[in-house]
Amino acid sequence: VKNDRSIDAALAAANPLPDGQLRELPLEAAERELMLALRDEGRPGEAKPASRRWTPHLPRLAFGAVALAALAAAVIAIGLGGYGGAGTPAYAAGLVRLAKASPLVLLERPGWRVESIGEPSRLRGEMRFRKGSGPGAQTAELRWRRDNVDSLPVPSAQRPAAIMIGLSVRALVTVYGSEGGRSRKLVAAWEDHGRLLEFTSFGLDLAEFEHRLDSLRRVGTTSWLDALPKRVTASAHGEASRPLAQPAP
Amino acid sequence: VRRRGQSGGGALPPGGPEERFERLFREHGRGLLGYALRRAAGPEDAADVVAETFLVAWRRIDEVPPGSQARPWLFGVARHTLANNARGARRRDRLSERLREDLITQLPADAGQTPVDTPLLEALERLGEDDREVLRLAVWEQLDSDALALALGVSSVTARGRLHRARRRLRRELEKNPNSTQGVQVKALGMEKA
Repeated sequence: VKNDRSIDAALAAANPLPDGQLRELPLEAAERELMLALRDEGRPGEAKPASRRWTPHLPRLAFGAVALAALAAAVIAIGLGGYGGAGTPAYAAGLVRLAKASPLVLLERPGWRVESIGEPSRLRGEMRFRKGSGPGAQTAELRWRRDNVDSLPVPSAQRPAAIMIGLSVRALVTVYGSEGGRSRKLVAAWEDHGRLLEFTSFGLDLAEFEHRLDSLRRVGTTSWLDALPKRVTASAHGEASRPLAQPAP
Repeated sequence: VRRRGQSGGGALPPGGPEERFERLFREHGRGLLGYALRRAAGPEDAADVVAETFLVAWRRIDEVPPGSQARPWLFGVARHTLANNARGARRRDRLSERLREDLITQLPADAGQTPVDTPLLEALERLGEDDREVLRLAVWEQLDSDALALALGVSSVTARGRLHRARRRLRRELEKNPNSTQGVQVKALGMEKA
């Protein structure tokens, strides 16, 4: 290495992630989601969006404490005689608001359960579904955020398929990764009351994914709350050290 | 020394804060991710650095300089974020969760493991952090001296001087140990090579 130019050329050649490789990473959807999430964060001196006032007050990064307090109040209300007829719990207002902030969508297939929920608000949130346990377990995710389908970035190499799903809506399906690959991911996106919903599964072929999409159902608030893990309400009874959104150990 | 956000003296770009932020993210998000991936301990940390940097940019959107100066300004914020994160425990930010997950699955397994000039990278690792960073900014992020100045928070003259001295020290290191592959761990995308 003799001069500045040659030392720069050698350094450039040693770049561990050249720009060409960086640009090819299919991260557009994740980047857009991050951008929108950041944009929904308040700025100093800025009034919060009206839609945020509508939601239960659940800070994004410290969801646990406030949510647990709300849930504790709700569970206490239930414990004081809040059960409705026919053995159906009449959930307290805090929990009902929590449910209504979500899209009220469940994956209704044998063996599947709600594993966790996170940040349920009108603006954004997510639910994880799981079937089985251990290495053979299957998982799926439902995320929602304030956005629309037209804004979705699509990998240049493919044209997304528009298919009908179990919710009687047309969803745009995008496939990431090659068939059989470890990073294979399928995402169905559709709009619902001004929000973009994305249902994601991993490692499936398209037919299997369509079959799974057919099992998505819109449910009532009680059914949705019934489907939540029992530890969610258990945590409201005082296990405040375990955040609500964490998966079961 | 210029004050951040006031360098260049250009007018704010058109549009409201949301529009400006979207444009900023669209134009510089991937580049900032590359910056973070080349320096952070792993893809998870890189995603958090991107989120934290753009959160600062959003909250201070009126201070982000216009045009080509926005990029080095973002690098400057990211540099501080990385330094702060190195000092304290990492906080996993929920905002960047999906980017983190997608990076883990989509980053090619061989990224950072392409054949490289190992003695050169080892020599780079032996330099001080300031020397290393000014070289990486100049070569990997292709910043000129004005942009370097903005990213480093110094004057252009100082930035040029730092770059000159860093090149000289790197050359010396290479001359001292032209073929050494021992004693230094080379970090590339968080993957350490013995």
